Formats: sequence, structure tokens, C-alpha cells
Amino acid sequence: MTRTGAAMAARFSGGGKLIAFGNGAGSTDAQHVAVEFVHPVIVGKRALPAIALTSDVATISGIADREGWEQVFAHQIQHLGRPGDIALGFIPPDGSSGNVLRALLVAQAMGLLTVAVGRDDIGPIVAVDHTVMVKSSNPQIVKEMEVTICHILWELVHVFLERPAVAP
Amino acid sequence: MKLPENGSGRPRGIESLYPFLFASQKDRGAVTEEVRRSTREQALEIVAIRDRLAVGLDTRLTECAQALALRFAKGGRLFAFGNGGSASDAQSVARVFLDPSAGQPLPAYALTNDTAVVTALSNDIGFEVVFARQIAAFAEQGDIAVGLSTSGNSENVIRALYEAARRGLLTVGFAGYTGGRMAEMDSINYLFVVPSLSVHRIQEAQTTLYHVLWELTQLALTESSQGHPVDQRRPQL
Repeated sequence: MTRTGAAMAARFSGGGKLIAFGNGAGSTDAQHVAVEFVHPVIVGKRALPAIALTSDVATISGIADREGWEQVFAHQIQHLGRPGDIALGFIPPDGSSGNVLRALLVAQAMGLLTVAVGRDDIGPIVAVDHTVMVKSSNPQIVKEMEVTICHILWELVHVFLERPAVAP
Repeated sequence: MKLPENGSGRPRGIESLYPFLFASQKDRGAVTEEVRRSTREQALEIVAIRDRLAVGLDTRLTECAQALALRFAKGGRLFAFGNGGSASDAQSVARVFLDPSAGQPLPAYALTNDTAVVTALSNDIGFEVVFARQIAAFAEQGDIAVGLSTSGNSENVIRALYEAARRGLLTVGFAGYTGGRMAEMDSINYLFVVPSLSVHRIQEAQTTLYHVLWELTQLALTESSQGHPVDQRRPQL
């Protein structure tokens, strides 16, 4: 997590933005982490650019209708992502999350920093830059861990933004 | 799904990507250790909070779940609302009831989902009325209102809970710190307060609380329907 936070901080300091996405519970994690960065609850912390791809119902339903659900996040990354950005995908153990994997793959090809939270066995499919895994088969517990992971990643980003010279 | 393997083989080390990050080895080592310690402490803190809540709130959670099950069994619906991170929690509450990983799907709405309504009410009247007006428009006497606020002071959440109580809904509140203004309200049937000073830890504990509430509600529904199966899909919790 420390390495992930440091890498994310480096992207933010280079002008990158965070792009978060996931299905079901992961979609609310994506929206939660985005608001965390844009409007920090801790007074004095600077606002950082972050979006949740699940918030745009018009685009998502349009892509799903035209190209299929598998393409929703990948399409958005392709057109909204920039090489200096961060792609943060939530991949729970109980779902296939094919659209999240596809989006991470597209993000990686475009040069974004790729972070996967949840499952750790996606390596053969997408070699993401950072993985923070949750060891539980209970979807509720996975979700609870993901909230903590997001909060701590947010905090680590600010630690390393304030002291860039000491990142691991 | 079949996806091609990544064969780019580009360097993973952030050192090569971000050379400006690197100061003396001594500084790095000290700060990294400090950051690791802080990360571990925060993870342990939320575990400790959950342990305390499990002991302190178990009876209230069970009672609340039974009240929810009673409402759902009679056709009641759940409306969840909150601001910011709590808005995403409201959506998560609605989702876990409506699209559960096990058990029967139950009718639940997150009032934050409709940006047209939320922005219209905010623009025309004010943000403090958004959830209350939605409750007034949608809710019926047998329904359930779930309001989330880390401070316990969110004006629109408080107004919506008042409106819900006035209309005969079962009202459930989630708050933090000492409960704020929500702790002083007599319009909340079940209030769950996470006694922490950290907004982050409060939200994490609230997530566990509403997950447990959902699970207990599923159990209560199963128990109440035994012998009178209303739904063949049994929870497997």
C-alpha cells in the first residue's frame, strides 16, 4: 500500500487524475474514492482530480447498449484517460469483472498507472502496476476492506505529495 | 473472457519513472517505516472499533433488523440517503438490499442516484430539502428511511428523517462522533453511532453496520416465512 500510495502521489504531482471504476459494490467504492480526493474530509488537504466512471449513467448505458457491458469502462478510459493518469479498478473475488479487466488493459497500453483493489489472481490477464488484495470470500467483508484501503491510499497520497523526496 | 497478455515488459520500478522522488536513503527508510506503522495502526483501529460495536450494538441491530423484516414482508421499501462519502454508502445500502449476494432481493432506493431531481431541488429551493422532498414524493407509511451522516449534523439528512417519521416510516440513522444533532432527535427509531473522531473510521464501521443489518434482516425474513414460504430463494449466509 505504501508503494501504491507513493506511485499515485507521483502521478498526481505530474498533473494526472484518478479514474476509478467497478461493478456493484465496487461502483460505490469508485464514487467514494473519487469524492475523497476531490473534496477531502480533512480540512487543509488539497483537492485532487478524481472521477468515478460509474457516475455517468448516460454514457454507461449508451456504451452497454451499443457495444456491450464488457466495454463500458474501457471505452471511457480510452477517451477520458491521459497517459499521466491513474486507473483504479475494483475487482471483487465473486465476480468476473471482465469490464474492469478490459479497462485496466486499455489503461496500461495508454501508459496510465494501473491499480487493482480486491483480487490478486488477475496477473496472467492484466499485469497491473499495483495490486492491493483482500483475502476474503465474503463480498461484504471485501467491500468493508476496500473502503479502508481507499481511505489509507488517500492518506498515503497526501503524505507523499507533501514530502515527495522521501517516497519509497 | 479472453484478453491478450501484457507483454510490454516496461520497467515497473517507480525509481526509473519518478527519479525526482528520491532523497537520501536514510530519510526514505525512516519515512517508509513511519508510513507503514501508521497504515498498520489504522487497520488495527478499525478492527478494534468493529469489535466494540459488535458487543455494544448487537441487541439493537437485531431488533432493528426484525423491524425492517416486518416492513419488507408487508411490502415496505427502503430509502437511503447521505452526502459525499455517505452518498456512496447510501447507494451501497440500497444495492446490498436490492441486489444481494445471497438471500432475497428487497426493494430499496438510494435518493442520491437521481442527479436531475437532486440538482433541481437544490437549484430551486436549497440543498437542505433534497432528501425530505424525495421522501415526501415517494414514501408511504409502511416504508423505511435510512439516513447516513458521519457528523450526525447533516441538515438534509435530519430534515428527511423528520419528514419520514412524520409520515409513519420506520427511521434508521447512522452517525459518528457522539451522534451530533441526530442523537437529540426523537424521530429516529434506531440510531447507530460509531464513537470515533475519524470520518474514515466512522464510514468504515458504518459499512460493517449496514452489512450486518442487511444480513440480520435476511435471517429475520427467513425465520418469519418458515412454514409460510413467501419466497423460495433462501438466503445462504
